[in-house]
Amino acid sequence: MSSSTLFGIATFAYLFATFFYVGYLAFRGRVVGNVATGMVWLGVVTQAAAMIMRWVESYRMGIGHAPLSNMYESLGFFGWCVMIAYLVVEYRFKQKAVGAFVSPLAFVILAANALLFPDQIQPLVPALQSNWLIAHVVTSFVAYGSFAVSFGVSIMYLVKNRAERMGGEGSLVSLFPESKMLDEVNYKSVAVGFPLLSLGIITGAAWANYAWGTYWSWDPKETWSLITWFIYAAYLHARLTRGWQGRRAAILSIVGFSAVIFTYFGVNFLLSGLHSYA
Amino acid sequence: MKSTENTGKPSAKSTKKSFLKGVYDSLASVTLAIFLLIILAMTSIVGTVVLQNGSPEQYLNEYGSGTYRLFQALALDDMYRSWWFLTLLALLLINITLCSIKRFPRAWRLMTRSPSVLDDVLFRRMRFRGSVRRGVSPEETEERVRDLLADRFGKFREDRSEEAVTFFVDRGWYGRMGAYVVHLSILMLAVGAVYGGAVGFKGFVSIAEGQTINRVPLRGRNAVIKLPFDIRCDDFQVIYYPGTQQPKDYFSDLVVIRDGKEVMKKRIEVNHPLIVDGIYFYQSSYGVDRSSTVTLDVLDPSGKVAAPSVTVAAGQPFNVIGDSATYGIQQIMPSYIGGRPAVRMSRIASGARQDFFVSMAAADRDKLRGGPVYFRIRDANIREFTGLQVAWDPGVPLVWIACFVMIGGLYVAFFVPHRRVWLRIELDPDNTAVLMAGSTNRNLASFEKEFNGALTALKQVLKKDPGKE
Repeated sequence: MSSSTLFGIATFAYLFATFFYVGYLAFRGRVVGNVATGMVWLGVVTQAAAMIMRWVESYRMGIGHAPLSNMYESLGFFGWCVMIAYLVVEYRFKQKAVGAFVSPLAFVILAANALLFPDQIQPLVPALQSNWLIAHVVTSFVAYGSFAVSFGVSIMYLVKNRAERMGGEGSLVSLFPESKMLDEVNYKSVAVGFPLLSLGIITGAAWANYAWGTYWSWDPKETWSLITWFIYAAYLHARLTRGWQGRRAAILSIVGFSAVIFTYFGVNFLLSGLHSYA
Repeated sequence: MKSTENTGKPSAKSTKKSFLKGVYDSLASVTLAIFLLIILAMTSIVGTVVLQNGSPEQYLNEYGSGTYRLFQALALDDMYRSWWFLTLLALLLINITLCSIKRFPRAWRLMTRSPSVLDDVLFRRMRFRGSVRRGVSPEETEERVRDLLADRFGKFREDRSEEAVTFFVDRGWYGRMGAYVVHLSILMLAVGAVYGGAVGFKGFVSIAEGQTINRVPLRGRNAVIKLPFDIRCDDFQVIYYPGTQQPKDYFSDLVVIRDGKEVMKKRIEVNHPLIVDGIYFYQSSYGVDRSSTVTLDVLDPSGKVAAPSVTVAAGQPFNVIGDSATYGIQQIMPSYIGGRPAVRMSRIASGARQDFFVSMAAADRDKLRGGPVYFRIRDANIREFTGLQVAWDPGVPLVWIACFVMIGGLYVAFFVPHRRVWLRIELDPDNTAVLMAGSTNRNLASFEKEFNGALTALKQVLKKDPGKE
């Protein structure tokens, strides 16, 4: 079985997980919820296997490198990190309903990846041949995964909040977790993502210092990662010392994730710069 | 610690005082911090969309003269070094400093001066609290409570008086310092960056194989720096991924010469710079030096020599006897098919230009072009140059220390909540209450769970016979 087949299985596992999570939201069945979680596990495990296969394949081709070096590989890893972050949240907070808003993100990411980007294993350009590659990419994407979860629960919060303000809760919305819980999960995910994003920026700066001779050059990728950092720093200060909770916190968190997405895709497809691989 | 009591300085004029205090309060407010962070996030976008440090022609071509004048007025063509952006950054640093100074005393007090006795006032002030009716003797109660606390919270202190004993759990007190450590690290980072920028330099130099240099033109400035040693490039090489023109690696063999003596040799490549006296030399680019020449055999279509061989450099036009066209080499490629050289050439005859390729590995391939003569590479005397980024930034060590401090601070700030639990037992046999109270500065939900769990367990163990239920 090839790694692309495994990626395909993972993509559909996340799609089915989405269906089951929505089903869980609607019917609150224990079994439905467990099947949903099982689907996520299936996706995460097959994707891990696919990444390991790619890694091994690259060595067999004589151009061995960790499968984190271009758009196809990093996007797949992004989807994986989203679901890993989600599994941690599900375990910690026991709120399976959140899965209905997070697993579709992973599905869209993986499906887009399969449709848009070539899956050949390519040799590494010299600038990427460094031990910093893994540290930089892993910290950045685990941070992105956490932010994706915070984005999912923020959307949930706003949907619930809107339904409540319109009076008369919708039947689905009334089955969402409590607002307080959604806000807490939002904060927790950002609180995990923010130090990791800092670490991702720092490892990137350290690497740039070795490869390009300067740790900060206001390259678009660097600048956008800093913009993201500023937004989440604002979120944390607003929440911890100004008591911003609920709606405003959710909106700021969504703005933060939009900056993450732009840092990742926008910079590569709309702007030019040094960081052109992924 | 005494200084923490000192708030507000006496001043002669109260209006002046209130004005200054107003300025101080706004500069030291978290609201300003949030405002500045959002403004910085929004303005930073501009420099990623508008070309930075381009030439006037580039701006005029792309935006026209009116817009370019606006860009210049607002320094948008170099916005990250513009006065207004640097002012915003400076404001943020001032805000961070004042805000920390203002809030630190309270955090320090909360960290170091927790009351060790749970009196009624403190009990009512706590967010988490509960009381248990005691069913066993004070001594028995104390023993069971001790076991429970040790089991659930680890270490605790105790404060005993005639009437009561208070046990006090004080966990993660240093978490209160996390935010201040992060703020300090940002100031260190700024100091490192400013110092490195003011004292250090960044430049770019290319060295041809065999050439020795000791002057480096600085980037973005019309200046040259003289190194305290010489650098010679002995060799430059590119290795390609097999069967492709994609570089796998490129290296330069550099020699450091001081007072005429070779003191260091190093092969550098991308990600592996040479470091001499704290000055970094990074492998950055490469190319073919203009002194390189190629010797071409000139043959007629039957493969016989048509004219004497020519030795030319790139960009140097030449003619061939018996052909009115002008030939020239556009580009010399040191390593093409089979790792052997090739050239991109052009032929201009009666105003029409034809480009073609001659590769040393495919000797008679050029014959297929069908011209009056064709070329074969007999010999190539190619001298490559290596392009080196040169940097000296004495602020870097401080920047890295700041980064380590920041990560440590962030970890403590987010993952070490300051959790306090008090448990008071009345020693008077007629007073039957055991009071429990707690507080945390982070993560209310998980503390609530922990606290309520402990409270339930407490109720359980204080039953007459906790074994039976």
